[in-house]
Amino acid sequence: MAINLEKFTQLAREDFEFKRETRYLTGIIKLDFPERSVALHFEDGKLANVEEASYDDDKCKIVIRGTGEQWEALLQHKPLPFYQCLQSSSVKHGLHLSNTNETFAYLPALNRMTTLMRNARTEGAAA
Amino acid sequence: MIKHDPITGRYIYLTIDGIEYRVYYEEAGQGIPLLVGHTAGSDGRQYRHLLCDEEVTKNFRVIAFDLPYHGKSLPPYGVRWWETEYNMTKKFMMDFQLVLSKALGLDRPVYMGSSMGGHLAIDLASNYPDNFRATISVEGALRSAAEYVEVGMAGIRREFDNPNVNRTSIGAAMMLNISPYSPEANVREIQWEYSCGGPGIFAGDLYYYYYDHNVTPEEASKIDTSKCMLYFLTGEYDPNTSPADTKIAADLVKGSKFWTMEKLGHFPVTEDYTEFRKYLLPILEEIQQTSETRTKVA
Repeated sequence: MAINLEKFTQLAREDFEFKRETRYLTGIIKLDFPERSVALHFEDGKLANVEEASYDDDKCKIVIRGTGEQWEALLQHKPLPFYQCLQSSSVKHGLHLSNTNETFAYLPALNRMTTLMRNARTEGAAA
Repeated sequence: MIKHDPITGRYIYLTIDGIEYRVYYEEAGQGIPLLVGHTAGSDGRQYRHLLCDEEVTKNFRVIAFDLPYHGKSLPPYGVRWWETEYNMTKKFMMDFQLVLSKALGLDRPVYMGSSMGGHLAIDLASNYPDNFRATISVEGALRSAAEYVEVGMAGIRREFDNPNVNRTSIGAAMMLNISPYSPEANVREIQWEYSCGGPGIFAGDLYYYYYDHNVTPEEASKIDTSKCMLYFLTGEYDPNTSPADTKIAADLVKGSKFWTMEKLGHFPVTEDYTEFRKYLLPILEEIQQTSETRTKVA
C-alpha cells in the first residue's frame, strides 16, 4: 500500500483542518487499493476507527478506488498533470471517486486527507 | 507609515439589455486601457497582484471589474432576479465589455481574461475585432474539455448548486485546477474567493464556460489578428483547458501566439503572479510597441 496506515491515522487524528472539515460526518470513507481496502469510520465528525476491511460501496458515504499506478501518481508530493487532487485524477485519469452528496460536501476534507496521505507515505513504497 | 495598495475602487452604472447594473471595478495605472476579466464564480480580487505591479501600471490603465452578481457587484436592484435561474451567456459576456468600455471612454482597450474570461478573449477577437486592439486568452480554448462538458448542467448544479453542499466545497473543488507548485497561501486565497460567491452563480457561469462558448474551427480560422491580436497563455496543470486544447485554437488562429506556462494551473494570475508575469510582460510590451507604431503611422 502506498501509505503507512498507522502514521496516516495519527496524522488524521491530530490535524486541525482534517478534524474541522470532517465535522458532523457519520459513516464510512472507503479507500480501495489494489491489494487492500481501508475504511475510515466517522461518528458525528469524530474519526472513530480505521480498519483494513472491505465494505460494499452502498454502505459507504464516500468511495475512492484506484489502481496501483493511479494511487502512486496521486500520492506524489508534486504530482504530474492532472494528478493534483482526487477530482482531477478522477476526471482525467479514471480514478474512481463517488459522486454522493457527501463526496461533494466533504471535498475540503478529502483534499486534506490526500495531503495527509502524501505525508504518510512509506518511503519508496509502491501502491 | 500607513500602507496602501495603489488601487482605486468605484461603482459605475451600466445598462445592458434594458437592465441597469451597479458594477464595481478597481483600477490602477495609466496608459493603454487593459480590462481584466475574472474566472467563473469569482471576482476582480483575483487581479490584486497585477494591479500592484508597477511594471504593468506604468504603461497600462488596468481595470478589474466584478461582473454583475459577482464580488461587490450586487444583483440588479428592481429586478426580481430571485425568480429565475441565473445562467451566464456569451451575449451578456460580450455586451458587458462593450458597455463598460464605452462608459469609461476607453479607446480600443486590451482585454485579458482567465478561464471563462479566457474563452471570452477568443469570442471578442472573433466578434468585435474593431473594438479591441488585442485580447489575451488565459486558459482559453475553442471549448472546455469534453469530460467536463459531458457532465451537463444538471450534473454541474448537483455538484456546485446543491443545498446539501456547503459553499466551502466550491473552493475545495478548485484544487483540481491548481498546480501543486503554487504557494499554499495563494491556493487558499483562490479557495476563499470561490467560497464567497453568490448562490448558484458559479454553476450559472459554467453555462457560458461549458456550453455557450463553443467556437468552431471555421470561426477560429477567420479571426483577424491584424485587427485584434490574440495571445494564448495556458497553464500546464489546467485540466479544463489543457495546453493541448489551447494549442488547437492557437493553430487555427493565424498570427496568434501561444505559450504553455510550466508549473501553473487554471488560475495563474492568482496562483503565482510572480511566475505568470514572466509570460505576461513580454506580451504587454509587444502590445505597447504595436500601439506606438500604429500611432506614428496614423
